Amino acid sequence: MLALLVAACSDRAPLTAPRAAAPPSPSVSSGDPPEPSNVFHVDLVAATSADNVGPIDFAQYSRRTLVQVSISGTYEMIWNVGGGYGTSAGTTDPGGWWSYLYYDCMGNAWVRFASGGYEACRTPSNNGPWIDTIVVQGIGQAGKYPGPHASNYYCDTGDFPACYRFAGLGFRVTIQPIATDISVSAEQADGLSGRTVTFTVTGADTVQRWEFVPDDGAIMADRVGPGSQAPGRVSLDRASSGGLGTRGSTARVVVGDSRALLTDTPECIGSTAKTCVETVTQSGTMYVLATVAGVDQQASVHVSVQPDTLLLRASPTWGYAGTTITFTPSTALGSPFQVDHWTWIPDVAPGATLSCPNGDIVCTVAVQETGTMRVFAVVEGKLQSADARVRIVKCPQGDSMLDNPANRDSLRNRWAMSNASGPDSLRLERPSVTFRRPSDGDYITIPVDWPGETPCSNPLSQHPLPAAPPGYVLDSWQHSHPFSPGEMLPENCFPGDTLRYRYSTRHGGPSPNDWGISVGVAPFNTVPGYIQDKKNIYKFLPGIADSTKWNSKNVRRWKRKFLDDPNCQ
Amino acid sequence: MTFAIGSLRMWQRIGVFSLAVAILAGATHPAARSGQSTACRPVDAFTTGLRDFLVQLDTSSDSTDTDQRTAFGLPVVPVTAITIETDSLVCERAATAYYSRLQNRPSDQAVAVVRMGSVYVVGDPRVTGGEFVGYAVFDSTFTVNVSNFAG
Repeated sequence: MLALLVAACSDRAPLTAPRAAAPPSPSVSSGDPPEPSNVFHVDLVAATSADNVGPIDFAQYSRRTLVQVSISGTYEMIWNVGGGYGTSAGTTDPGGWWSYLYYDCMGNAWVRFASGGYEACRTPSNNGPWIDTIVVQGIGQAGKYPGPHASNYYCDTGDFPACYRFAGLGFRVTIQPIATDISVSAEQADGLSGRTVTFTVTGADTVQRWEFVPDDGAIMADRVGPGSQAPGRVSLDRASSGGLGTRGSTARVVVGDSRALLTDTPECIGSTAKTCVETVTQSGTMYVLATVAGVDQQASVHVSVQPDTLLLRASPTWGYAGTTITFTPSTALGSPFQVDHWTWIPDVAPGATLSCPNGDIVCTVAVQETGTMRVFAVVEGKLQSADARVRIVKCPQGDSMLDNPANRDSLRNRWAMSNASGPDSLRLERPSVTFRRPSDGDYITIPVDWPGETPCSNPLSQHPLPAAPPGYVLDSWQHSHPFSPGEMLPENCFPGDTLRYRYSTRHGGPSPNDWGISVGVAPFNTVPGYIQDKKNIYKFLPGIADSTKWNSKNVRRWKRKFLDDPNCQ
Repeated sequence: MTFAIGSLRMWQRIGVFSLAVAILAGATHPAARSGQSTACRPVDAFTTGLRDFLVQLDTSSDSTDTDQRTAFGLPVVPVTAITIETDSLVCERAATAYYSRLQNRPSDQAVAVVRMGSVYVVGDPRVTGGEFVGYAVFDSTFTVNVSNFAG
C-alpha cells in the first residue's frame, strides 16, 4: 500500500525544536534550529476570582513544533466576602485549587493550540510544577478559568461578588521550543512491501516517547483508550498520572481522530526504545523526545508515504493480429482496487481492437493492432490508471522467435552494433541469447558482448551465458555475420594470409564453427542458433553431428527485409 | 562464431573449432594419421560438401546464390561438369597454387579440389580465418587466382 520516502534529519545539523513537521509535501524534513522569535510569553491578569481570563492569542508556530509549556507565578488571594473580608486567603498558582465538591481544579491556567494544548490542574496527587512538553502548531491561546471559589459563601456567581481579590504579578505562560542535538533516522525495513519503517534515534541517553504526526492529520501524542474524546476535540486526561512531560505534568493531550493515526503495529507509539519499527500508513513526521544529559531534546524525521500503485499486466504481451490477450490489473503492494473503465489506445488510429466493458475486473480481448490498454481503477480512494503495451506482429515469418517484436528489436540493435555498413575491418560479430517464458511465450533477448569480437568471430561460447530470468528458459542464440554473401572480408579475418576472401554461405549460413558449437558445446547444443548477415536470417538446429548435413538443406533461411522494413515494425 | 582467440594464427586454432574441422576433415584422413604428404584429400564430407555447395550456386536462381556465384567468378555449367578431382597431378598443382599464398602451411599439403567447368575450387579445412574456412578459385592452369571465398 505504501511506498516510502524518508527524509532524515541531518546529523550535521541536529534537529532542534521547534522541530516543526514538514509542510505537506513529500520528503521534506525540518531541521531548523529554534529561533528566539519562537519563544512566547503571556501574562494572565485577573483582578478577582470571578474573572475568566482569555482566551488570549499569544503564540504562533507555522509548523508543528515540540515545545515546553510552563506556567508560573502566583496570585495573593484576599477575601472579598465574609468575615475575613480584606484579609489574606493565601495564594493560588496556575494549577488552581482542587475542589472535592466538583472533583475538579478551579481557577487554573491553560494553553491551547488547534493541534493540542496543556492545562495546569492541581489534583490531590499533583501540585506542579506546571510544565509539559507538547507538539503545537498554529495560533496559541492562553487563559485562566474563574476561581478558586469559596464553597461556604455565595460568590463568584450571578450577581454575587467575587470570592477573592487578587494581588501580585499573576500567572505567566512561557512557551519555547526544545533544543536538540540528537538525530533520528528512518529506514524502510521491508523493501518489498514498503510498509514498515525502522526508526532509530542516536545521541540520546533515554527515549521518553515517540510521536508520529501525519502531514494531514493531528498529533498522536499517545495511544487513545476507550472513552477518549471525539475527534478534533481537545481533552485533558486528568485521570492519568505522571503524564508525558518530564517535569511532573499530569496532563495528556489527545487531538484528532486516533483511529486514523493508529497503525497496524504501533510499536513506536509509547515505546521508550531507541529503535522501533512502525507500520506507516500515511506521510508524516516521526518525532522522538529523548533525554540527553538530563535535558529533554527532540528530533524528527519525515516519512513520505506514496499511495499504492496500480499495475496492469498483459498476457501474452505480443501476438499475431486477433490474438486473445488478457489484461490483469493489480496493485504494487496488494491494496484492493475497484476497476472503473478500460481504454484501448492503438499506436495508429483508428484501431480495430475493442475496449473491455467498464467495470470488468479482468479484460480479455482479441487485439488487432499494436497499442496500449489502459485501465482506470480506484486505489486507496483515488482514481489511477495503468498501461500495458501489446505488440502485434507485422509481416509474420512463421518463426516465433523471429516474429516476437522485442526479439526483432534486439536483432536490429545487434545488427546496428555490428557496424555492417562501416569499413569492413571495423565490423564486429555481435552475439545475443534469447530466453523464453513458457507460461505465456514472452521473450527476453540479452546482448552478450565479450572482448575478442572481430569481423569474423566472437567469443560467446567461451564464456558463461547470462542467467535465465526467473520463469524463463534458454530459447536460442544469435550472432551477426556483418557481410553480404560474396562481399570481400577484411584482411584481419585471415591474419597472416595474403589472400583476400569473400564471405560465402558455404555451410548454409552458419560457419563450420557455428555448426561445431551447435553439436559440442553446452548449452548451445540444445537450442537453435540464428545468424544474420546482410541478406538473410539463418536458423539451424542443434545436435546435427553429421557434417555432411552442414549445408543449406538443414538451414531455414529468411530474407532479412522484414527486419529492416518500417512497415513490418 | 569461433572458439579460437582472435590473436591465434592459422594452424594454431584449438578447441571446438578443431573438433569441427576434424569432423569436416574426416577422422580417417590418412595424411592426418601418417603425416605423409599427399596432394588430393580423400573424398570426404568436406570435399563432397564443397561440391554440393558449388552445385547449389550453379543451379540456384536465388539472389543470395547468384550473387556469390558472380562474386566468386564461377561459371554456369552443367551439373555434370562439377566434379571432385582425384588426379594427383592436378591436386599437386592446385596445392602448390593454393598454399603458395599462405604464410603458414601444413606439412601434409592435401587439398580438396572440385572442378567446375573451366575453373578449379581448392580448399583445406585447416585453412581458417575467424570461424571460416578459406577456399581459392583458380583457372584451369592454376596460374590465375580468380577469387577466394570463406565460409
